[in-house]
Amino acid sequence: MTDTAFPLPKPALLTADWLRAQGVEDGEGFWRALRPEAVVCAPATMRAAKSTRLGFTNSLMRRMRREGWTITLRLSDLQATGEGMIVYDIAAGERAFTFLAWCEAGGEEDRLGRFYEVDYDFYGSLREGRTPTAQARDEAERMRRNVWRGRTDNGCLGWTVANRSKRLFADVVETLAAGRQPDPGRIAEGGGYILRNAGWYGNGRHGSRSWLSLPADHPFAAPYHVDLFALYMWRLVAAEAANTIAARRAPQRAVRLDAGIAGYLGVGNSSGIGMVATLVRWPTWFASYNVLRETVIARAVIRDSVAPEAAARMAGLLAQTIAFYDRQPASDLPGIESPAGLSRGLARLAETLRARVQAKDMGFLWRDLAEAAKAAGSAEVSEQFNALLIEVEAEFADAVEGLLGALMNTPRGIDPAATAGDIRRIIAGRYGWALALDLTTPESRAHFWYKSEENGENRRGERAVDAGAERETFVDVAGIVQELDRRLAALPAETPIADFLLTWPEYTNAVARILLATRLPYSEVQANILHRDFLPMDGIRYLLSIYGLQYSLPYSTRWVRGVFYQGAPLPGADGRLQSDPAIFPVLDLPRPEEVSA
Amino acid sequence: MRVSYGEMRRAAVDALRGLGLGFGQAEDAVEALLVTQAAFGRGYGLIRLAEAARDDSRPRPAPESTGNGQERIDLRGATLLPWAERIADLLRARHATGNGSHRLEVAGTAGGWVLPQIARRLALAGIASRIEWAAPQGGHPDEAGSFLCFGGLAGLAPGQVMLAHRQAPAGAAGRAGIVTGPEAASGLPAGARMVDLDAALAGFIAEGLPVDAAEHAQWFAEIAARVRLPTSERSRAQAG
Repeated sequence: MTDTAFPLPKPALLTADWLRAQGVEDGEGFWRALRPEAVVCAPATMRAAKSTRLGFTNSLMRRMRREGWTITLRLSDLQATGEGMIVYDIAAGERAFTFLAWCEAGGEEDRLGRFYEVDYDFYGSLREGRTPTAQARDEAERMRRNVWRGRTDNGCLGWTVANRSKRLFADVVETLAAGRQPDPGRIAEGGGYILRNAGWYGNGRHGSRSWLSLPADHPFAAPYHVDLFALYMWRLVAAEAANTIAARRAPQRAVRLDAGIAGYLGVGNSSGIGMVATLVRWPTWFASYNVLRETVIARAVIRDSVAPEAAARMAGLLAQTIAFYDRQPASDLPGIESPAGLSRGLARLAETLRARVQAKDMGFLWRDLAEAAKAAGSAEVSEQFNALLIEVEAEFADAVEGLLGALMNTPRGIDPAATAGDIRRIIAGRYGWALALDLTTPESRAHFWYKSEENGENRRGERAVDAGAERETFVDVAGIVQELDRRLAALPAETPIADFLLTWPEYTNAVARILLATRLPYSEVQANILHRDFLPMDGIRYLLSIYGLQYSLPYSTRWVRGVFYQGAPLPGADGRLQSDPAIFPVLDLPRPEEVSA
Repeated sequence: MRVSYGEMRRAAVDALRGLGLGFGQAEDAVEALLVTQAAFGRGYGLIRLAEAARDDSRPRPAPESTGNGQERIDLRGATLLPWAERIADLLRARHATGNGSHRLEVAGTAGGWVLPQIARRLALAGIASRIEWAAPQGGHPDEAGSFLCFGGLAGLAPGQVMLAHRQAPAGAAGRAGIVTGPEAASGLPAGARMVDLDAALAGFIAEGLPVDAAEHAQWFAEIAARVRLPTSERSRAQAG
C-alpha cells in the first residue's frame, strides 16, 4: 500500500496501531519523514553507513546480557609454543553450547587469512550441547587435517578460522611473560586486535546444521547471530591464549592481561567483494534491515520536542564518537572522508546542540540537527548522526528490531494473477533508476562477477581481459530489469506473467524481486554493479556496518578492513556480560605503569 | 555421508547452472530438487536425467490451447525439473482468473519424480490436483514408473500427496496429465499411499540426509564446478 505521504510500499507490520502503541501519534508525519529509496539505496549513502544499535553484534550482545547467557572457560591447555586446545562452555537459556578452538604453534608466517589458504593459526567450532573434551579434540583434528574438505555433523553450528596478528600477539605474550602489561597505545596503533577473523563456515557447510532449522526461540535464530557469536568467542580465545602461553613460558613471573586492555581488544577483519554479491542475492534481507533503520530515524526526526535527558545523552554520544574518530587512521583512497573531517563535522553538530539546549530551544531538535548534518555536505557526518539518533531512540529501536524476523519472512514469489502490464508498471514506478542507466557502453559492462574454483570464492573479472564471462554469477539487477522490460513490452499487457515465465524461466528470479518491491521499500542497491566505476567498497562498508563493525578502513576499492567488538563487554566472574555494548570503545586506557603495578 | 539442507541447496543452484540453466531458473528449480530428494531420495536422479536430456538448442516451450478449455505444453524431450515450478504457477494463474477445473497436458518429458512437488505447490495455493504420469519408454534407471498423484484433497495437509501406481495407456509415454480444481478429487484408487512432502523436507532441514558420498561428489560437486573459473594469482587478486 502506498500513499502521497510515502510513495513506496508500507511494510504491512508498521500499522497505525503498532506505531501508536510505540508512541508515534503523527502517522502521516512519520511516513513523510522516511527517506526516499534514491537516498537510502545509493552507493554513496551505503559507503557512509555506520554501525548502529540495530547492528547484529549489538543486538546479539544485548540479547546475551538480557537473557543472562554465561560463558565459562572449561579448558585452556596450551603449550609454551602456543599449540593446544581452548574450550568454552556457553549456557543460553535452556540451551548449552561448546566453543572449541585448536591453536597452532606460533610460527614466523603472518597469514593473510584468505579463502584459498589451507593453513590457519586457529580452528574453531561452535557446537550445540556440552561436547565432551575428547570429542572436541576429535572435531578439532578433523578441521585442521582436512580444512576445506573436512566434514562435521548436525550438532555443529559451524566452523571458523582465525589468525594471529603476528607481531602484536607475540609482543603481548612476551610482555605478559615478563611480568608487565602491554602498552595500550601500541595496541591501539596496531589496530586494536591481536587476532584476525578468517571466516565462518556454517549453515550447512561441511555438513553443519542448517540455520533454517533453528526454531524461533533458539538463541541463534536471529540473522547472523551465530556467525557473530563465534567472532565474539575469538575475542575471548585471543586473550586467553596470550595469558596461557605467557604463563607456560614464565610460570613464576607472568601476569594476566589487564581487564581494561582485554576489554579494548577487538577482532580484526578484512572483507572482499563477495559481500556485494550477498547484498544483491538477498533483497528481502537488504530491505528488512533498511526498513528497521529508516523507521527509527524517521521516528526521531518527527519528535516535536526533545527531552533534556535525551539531549544530554546525545551530547555524551557525540563526545564519545568524536573522541573515537580523532584516533582513527585515514584511508589513502580518494572519496573516503577522513576521520578528522568527520570528527570536525560532528563537533559542529555538538556545538549546535549545546547552543540549542542552552537556549531551551528543543522543538524539532533532532530534525534540525539531521538537516544540519545533511547541509554540511558530508554523507559520513549525516550517517553517523543518524546512527546516534538510533542510539538515543533506544526503546523505540528495540521495539522495531523485534520486527526483523517477520519482515524477513515477507514472501518473495510469483503472483499468479500478475500480468506483463503489471510488471512493467512496477518497473516504471520502482526501477526507473535501472531503466535510466545506459548499459550499451563498454564501461557499463566492464566487469563480471564469478565464482572461483577455490572454494567458490566470489571474484570480479574484467570483461575485456579475463576469460569466463559466460559463467558470470548474477549481480546485474539493472541489466536484467532492462531486458525483462523490453521482452514484456513486446507482449499484450494482459499476458499472464506465468505464461511469459514458462517460456522465459530465466526471468523468474527477476520478476520475484520486482514483486517484492511492491511489498517492501529499499530492496535494491540502486547502481550498475558491472560498471567500471562501481566501487565494491560501498557495498562492503554498508554490510559491515549492519554486522556492527564500528569503523571500516578501505584498503582498496575492493577490500575493507576493520575491527569487531572493540571495547565490547566481557564476561565477568559469573560468566555473564557485565554491561550492554557501547556505541564506540571507550579509549580511556590505563598507562602501562598503572596496570603493571 | 550426511549432507545438510543448506549445503545441498547451495550446491544444487550451482549444479543446475552447470546444466545450462540461467541463474533465475536454477534458483527457481532448486526447491523441487530438494523436496524430491527429501521425500523420494531422487534428487540426484533428476540431475542425471537432466544431464542426459540436455540440449541447449531446444525451442522454448509455451502453453497451447487444444480446445475444450484444455492446454498442452510440449517440452520436446526436456526433463520436468527446470519447469515444475513454472507449470505450478501457470496453473495457479489459470485458477486466479477462472473458477472450475483446468486440464493441462505436459508432453515429451521425463523425470516424473518431481510431479508431486507440483501437486504440493498447488495445494499450498488451495488448489486440488490429480496428475497422471506416464513414464517415457526406454527405462532410464532414474525415471519414475507410471503413477497417479493427488494433492489438495480434503483431509490432506497441503504438503501431503497421495500416490498410486498406474498402468499407463499405450502411446502416452513421457506425458503428465494434470487436472486441477473440483474434478481433480475423483478417481483416488483404494491402494494409494500418502507421502508427506513437508515432513520430509522439514526432516531434511532439521537433520540433513544420508547420501552416498561418491554420488554426491559426482552429481553436485562436479557439475557445480562447471560454473566456477580456474584460479590464478590475477584471479586471487580479484577477490578484493
